[in-house]
Amino acid sequence: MEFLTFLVFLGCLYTMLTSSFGLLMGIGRQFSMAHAGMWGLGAYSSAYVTLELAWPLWLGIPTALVFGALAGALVAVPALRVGVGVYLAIVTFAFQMVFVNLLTNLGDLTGGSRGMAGIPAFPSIGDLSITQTVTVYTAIAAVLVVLLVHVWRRSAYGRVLLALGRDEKVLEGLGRDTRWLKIQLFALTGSLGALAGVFYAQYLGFISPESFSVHQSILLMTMLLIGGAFTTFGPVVGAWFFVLVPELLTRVGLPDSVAAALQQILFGLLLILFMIFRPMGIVSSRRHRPPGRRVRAADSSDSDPDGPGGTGGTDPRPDQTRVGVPS
Amino acid sequence: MSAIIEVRGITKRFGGITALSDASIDVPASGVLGLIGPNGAGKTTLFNIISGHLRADSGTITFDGRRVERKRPSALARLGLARSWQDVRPLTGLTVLDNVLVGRRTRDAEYPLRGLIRWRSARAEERLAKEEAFAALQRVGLDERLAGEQIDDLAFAEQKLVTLARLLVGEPKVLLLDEPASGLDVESVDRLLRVIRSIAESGVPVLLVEHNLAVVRDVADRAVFMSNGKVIAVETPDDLVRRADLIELYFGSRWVA
Repeated sequence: MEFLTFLVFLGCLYTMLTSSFGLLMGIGRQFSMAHAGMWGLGAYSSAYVTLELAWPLWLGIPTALVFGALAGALVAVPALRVGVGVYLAIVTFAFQMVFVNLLTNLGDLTGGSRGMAGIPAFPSIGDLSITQTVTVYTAIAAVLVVLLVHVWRRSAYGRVLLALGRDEKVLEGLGRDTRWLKIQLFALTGSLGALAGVFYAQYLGFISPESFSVHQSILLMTMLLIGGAFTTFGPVVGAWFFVLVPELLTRVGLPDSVAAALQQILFGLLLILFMIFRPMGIVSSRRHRPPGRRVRAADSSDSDPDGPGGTGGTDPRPDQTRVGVPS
Repeated sequence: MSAIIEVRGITKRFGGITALSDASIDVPASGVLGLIGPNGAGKTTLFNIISGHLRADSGTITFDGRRVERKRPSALARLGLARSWQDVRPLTGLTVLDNVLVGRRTRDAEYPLRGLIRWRSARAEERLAKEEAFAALQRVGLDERLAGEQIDDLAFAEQKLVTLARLLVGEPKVLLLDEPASGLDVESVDRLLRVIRSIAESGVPVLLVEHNLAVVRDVADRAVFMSNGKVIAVETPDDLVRRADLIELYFGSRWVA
């Protein structure tokens, strides 16, 4: 029972993280390696104020939201200078590394590499255990985050974010300050990522720097790639997929040592197969085509924002089979 | 005729090359003004400076009574200066409707939380926005039924028209078109020019860069002839093509009888 609770908790937690990350990476197409850092910042900041400063527990939530937003905005500032793509990946990667190093080295504040323990959790609801209670709250928060992202995605604002991910220059020409827009996007998604940290800290009662390493950012990215970053439910599917499938693998009777290795191989294989056959992930949408397709018959391509790799054929309706389920 | 854009004494150097030297033009507050000249004349440079994508080394630009030579493209666009791109730049993977709607600047699209809090008004605003987008599509002569299509599925000429509609929903005060006829077949050019004329007649002045003389003759009321970074002449297109000196600059001497 306890284990089942843990799985549900993880599913909800990663749902929150991938949904917010999907808004950043899938819709806004801002490549970030720092999302795990946002998550960690939420965990640490909320833990600090509720444990060390003994603030009321619920204040941990706005604290995390504010810190996540500030950190997101901070990451966005150098991102403005490097544009998109691989440079942005490197800058955000650096932020992620610095963050974990700070956690490890600011011993007075964070407990250093030993982390923080004894983080208080919300009082139990009825007969539920503490972990079950936190899971309930996590589930509620996850639903709210998914809803929020869903509404955003379909709103006029979401349309602007989509355009940001496609062609900044065009958007700038249409009267949007793309610098400010990027800061907003990083701040909003950072804030939502940090929210997940609050529940994580409360559930475990213990946090340490390595929980929020760059590997977690990569895991989140993989979840998006498999689930699909361009829809509301793609990130949700990706999150649960990666929480449940490893679990199923350990249940088929393989010894742990084999299962762990098999899992790594399987995930690598899956990733490759998805990139080839279903680049939009499990849940795709008619509204978004795979990135990298070029405009047909465009006479100049020096400023194509999608970069290389497009099929760019002359067939007027290519890729119909790849578009997948209508939204 | 009053001018909506006054360009005065713009100079721009790229390294040792002087792309523009002391160029001055007036874009009249109505009608179509063509910007023409041989390759390397500096017309695209001037165009990019007006739209804020390049910064001039010296000179001033006044748009609608405001000094704008130091403004960002987005600020200029908000003031009502809309520009198109030679390579069209549709937002690939999005529907035609979304492509047009992006051009509308509303506070819901500007502030992330506004549409969530005032969701009723946001929904009404979306309905209104769609109607305006349909109207804009009609204005550029596109069938409303295309609205749900992916823009990638449209022909190049139609994509151009969609990006025009995208500019129109932003209610521009002036339209800057970067080589609108490039890459189009004769029929599509005709179609596009009719649309440009009708936009100009509806009261939005147009400045277009074009190296195709026939296009300028067809659509422009007046044309600015540039060569070697200088404004050589401002005439009606018909007078322009009669000037042997300009034709020589444009085509080289062997074309002059």
